[in-house]
Amino acid sequence: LDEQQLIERVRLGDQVAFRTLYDGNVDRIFRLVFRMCGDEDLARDFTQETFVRAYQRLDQFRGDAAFSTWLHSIAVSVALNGLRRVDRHRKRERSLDDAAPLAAPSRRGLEPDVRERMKRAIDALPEIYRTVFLMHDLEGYNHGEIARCLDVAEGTSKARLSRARARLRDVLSDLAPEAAR
Amino acid sequence: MTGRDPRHDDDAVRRAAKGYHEPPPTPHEEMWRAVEARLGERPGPVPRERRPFTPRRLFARRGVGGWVGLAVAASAILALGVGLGRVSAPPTAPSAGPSVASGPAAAESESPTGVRLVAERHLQASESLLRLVQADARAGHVDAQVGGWARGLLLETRMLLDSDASRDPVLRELLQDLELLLAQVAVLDGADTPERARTELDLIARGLHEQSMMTRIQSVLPTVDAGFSGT
Repeated sequence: LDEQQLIERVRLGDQVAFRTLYDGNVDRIFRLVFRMCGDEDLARDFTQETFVRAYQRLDQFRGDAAFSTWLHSIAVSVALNGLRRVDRHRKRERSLDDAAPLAAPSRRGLEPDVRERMKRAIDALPEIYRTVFLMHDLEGYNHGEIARCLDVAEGTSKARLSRARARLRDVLSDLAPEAAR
Repeated sequence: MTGRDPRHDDDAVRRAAKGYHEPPPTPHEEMWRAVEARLGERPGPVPRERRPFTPRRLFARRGVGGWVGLAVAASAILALGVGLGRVSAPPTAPSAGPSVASGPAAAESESPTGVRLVAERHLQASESLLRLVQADARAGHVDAQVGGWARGLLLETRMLLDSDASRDPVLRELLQDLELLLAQVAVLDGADTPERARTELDLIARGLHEQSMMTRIQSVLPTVDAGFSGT
């Protein structure tokens, strides 16, 4: 069955068909929302909510874009809205989570302070830049996919990525020899 | 990083960022079970059957009748009642002119927005508590304040279930599930041993996962939601 046939079957109440759609998309959705939130509990919640909403709103899917694109637009919206709401809680949880890496051995490759500075720099990016950066540079989405997910023009996606990278380059500029290794 | 090929700089940025929120393996089956459970409970393409509101199932599941102190109940009910009254009271008309709203329009204007506001505040507070419970579950200990906090919220939840807030089927279902979770949290501080408390805590944390409680709370709270038109 192709994607359209699966969708039609889901509309008729076939949950096995929905499971097939789930299997085909859940990895990318989970990875993306985890990149966005950095918390496994939240990532699970957001992923589950994405699929539940997609199921509920399947009648609104017109098929102008691929199902996966539509699904990703839901995921990004769910994650961004959820993150805005739980931001104050995450600040508290981050302080708990940060305790663990102190005792853990440092990772291979970049020094911990470079990673930490990069993490802070990404966290400090405006949401619209951070989302594009994570999607493009870390998860490999192209600008067409990002544009459709975020409902912006491809040029906007490229501009946001460029600005995000510029800000990160600036932040890391004094660590260039280390970061460039 | 200036004075070099920008592409080289971008590669350096990507390398340094690679470990940012590195995703763990996808918990396929666990998430599917949670999704599947919710497909049968919420509106969708498939005709569904809502669970009826049966407060007694709470008591059937756990003996929670004895721990609610009368004084706590009275003060919580009073506080919430005053709040409900304040925010749901119709605004005083500045003049005694004739009302132009009648029929369906008037009925619409009398919708329980005040109760809804109270419900949203209640859900925000509940979300805070549940986040603390999640953190406790990860840390493997029970915060001493959790039980009392949960008992207060549990009372409010039940009051909301008896109010106009429960006319919204999604909110009612959420409050019913929240009621069960809060009842479990409320008795954590009465566990016989710390080990038992940790076990209970793990069960609660698992319930939070399986019911996607956080996301459901967030989805009920007002958000700037994007439209999903499939374009």
